[in-house]
Amino acid sequence: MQIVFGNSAPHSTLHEAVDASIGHDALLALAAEKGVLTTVDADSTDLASDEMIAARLSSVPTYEPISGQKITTYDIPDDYTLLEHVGIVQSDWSYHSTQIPLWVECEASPVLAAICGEQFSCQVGRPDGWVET
Amino acid sequence: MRTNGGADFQANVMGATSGTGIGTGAFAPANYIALSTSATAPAATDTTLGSELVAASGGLIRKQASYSHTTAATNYVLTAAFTANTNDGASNTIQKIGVFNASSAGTLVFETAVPSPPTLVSGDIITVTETVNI
Repeated sequence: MQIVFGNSAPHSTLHEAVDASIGHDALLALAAEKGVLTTVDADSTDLASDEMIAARLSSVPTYEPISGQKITTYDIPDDYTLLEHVGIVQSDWSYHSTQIPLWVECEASPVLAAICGEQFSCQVGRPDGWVET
Repeated sequence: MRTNGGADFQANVMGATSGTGIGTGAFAPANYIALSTSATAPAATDTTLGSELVAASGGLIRKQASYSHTTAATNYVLTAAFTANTNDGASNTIQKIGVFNASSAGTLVFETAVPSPPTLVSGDIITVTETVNI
């Protein structure tokens, strides 16, 4: 099902690759700075490999603003429940924007649009004259 | 990390004009997320996701993700929610995510380490998000 949002503060979510060759100590320092786990898992005292720590650091997102107001579109598999639709939008909206949506539309499900509108406290339906800039 | 197979996949999806099945089969969109408990670092040469969770009727098995994109953004986002159940075993620490173009087998296009691997037991719910730079 497709859900469309008006996005007043859009951004791209990027990743900066970190190479294990920067050295063990540098990796540990960077991991501490970015809150990345350095052990094999949270219950272990064994350190993860440098390559794994570098891979984890490479997964930490950074953000780059996009000028103007844009449309953000979600395509969610039809076998997801209504609540899962809402949960997914809520969980990853921050990868698209720094502000709550301006409006929401869902042609296939007015109910879903209404729930998203309530969850985000945003308008249901695109305001007259609203365009991307 | 994009795998070598992922690079070939992207080239074919974006540029190929010959051959059959464009948009399906080997050319189908890569929007299936799989979970792995392997703490081995991802490698571009990987073609399968080591220690992928595949328990029959498990809640942590590969599933189709949602897709989202903002106009003019240089990325898109794949997200899937998983609920662990008793079929998945006592507990699983999710170390890596794989993105495939099929619900089973298929091409491993992206492989990503989880920054702070969570350990899941039956009943735990996790939302997994893969952001892909384009």
